[in-house]
Amino acid sequence: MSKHCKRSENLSAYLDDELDEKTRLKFERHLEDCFTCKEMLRDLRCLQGCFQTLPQPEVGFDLAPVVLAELGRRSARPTSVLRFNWWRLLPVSFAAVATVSLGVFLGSLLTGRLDAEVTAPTLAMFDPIPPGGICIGFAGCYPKERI
Amino acid sequence: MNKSESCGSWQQLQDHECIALFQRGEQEAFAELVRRHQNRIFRFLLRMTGCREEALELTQETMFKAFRALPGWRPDAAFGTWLFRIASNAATDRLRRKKVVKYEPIEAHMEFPDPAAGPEEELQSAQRVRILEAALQRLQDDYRQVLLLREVEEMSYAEIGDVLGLREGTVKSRIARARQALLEVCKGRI
Repeated sequence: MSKHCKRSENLSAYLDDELDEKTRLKFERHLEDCFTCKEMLRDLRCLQGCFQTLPQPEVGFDLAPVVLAELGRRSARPTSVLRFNWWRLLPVSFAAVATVSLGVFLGSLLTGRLDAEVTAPTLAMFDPIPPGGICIGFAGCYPKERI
Repeated sequence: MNKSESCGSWQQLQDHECIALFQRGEQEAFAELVRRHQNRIFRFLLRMTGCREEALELTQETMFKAFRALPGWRPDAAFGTWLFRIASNAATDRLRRKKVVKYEPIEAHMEFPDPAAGPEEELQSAQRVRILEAALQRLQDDYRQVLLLREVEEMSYAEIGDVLGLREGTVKSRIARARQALLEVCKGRI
């Protein structure tokens, strides 16, 4: 095969009986005079013979029950979970946002009302320092009778 | 076709008859198709991948894909050819993913059997087989693929074109180049 003939492609097809009648006859005429092609044809026939002697390994058992059982297992498995579709999370996302918003709203309502109720009486009755008072360190600043 | 057919009568059916039965819901018809083609597909995949376990796994994968595609199957090509197309794609995908090309010296596979085991011709024949198997593994994937389909499966160029999605002219030139490459690898050894 080191020596190449331009017709080696036809030679391979000739070996496989894949040339049309006209090309085959033309190639056979060429073959009579071309030593390179003759030699190559002999090598290729030898190679083809070797292929015929290759062993025929087998699976060694009946694959059909294995395949059918595996197919059954695969069809029983939920396949949709494996795919991530962002739009499927939309209802859950909306529900989560609504729940958090409602929680914040209710929480702000409750905490706001409590502050008002607790601070007002404390200021009026017990706190010695009025709102806006600047002296918190000395009791003398605020005489008892004023409380 | 009666659903309660015995195992023996399944074997008498043609591939297309089994397919028609499977399309009507008869799973045993598919099992028969698997039994018929498992060894051919396995052999092809074994020589493509060079690994028995991998070949077995890919054979099963080929059958799974066939099972899924068969309900909509139309007889554009013979069932066997169509199955080889699936197997060939599976092998190509696997080999591409691995992207590991091992070029082992042919001599590594030339372990001679015990001379006492048989006559000299047997010994030479066994040696030739080993060299050819090793040489096939050294070929590039597309060359090995096309040679196996032609020389082992004895497919015509048109059938190989169907399997690989190639034009007949391309098949012809690829086979010629593959043979040339194989002869160069095996030069003086076979």
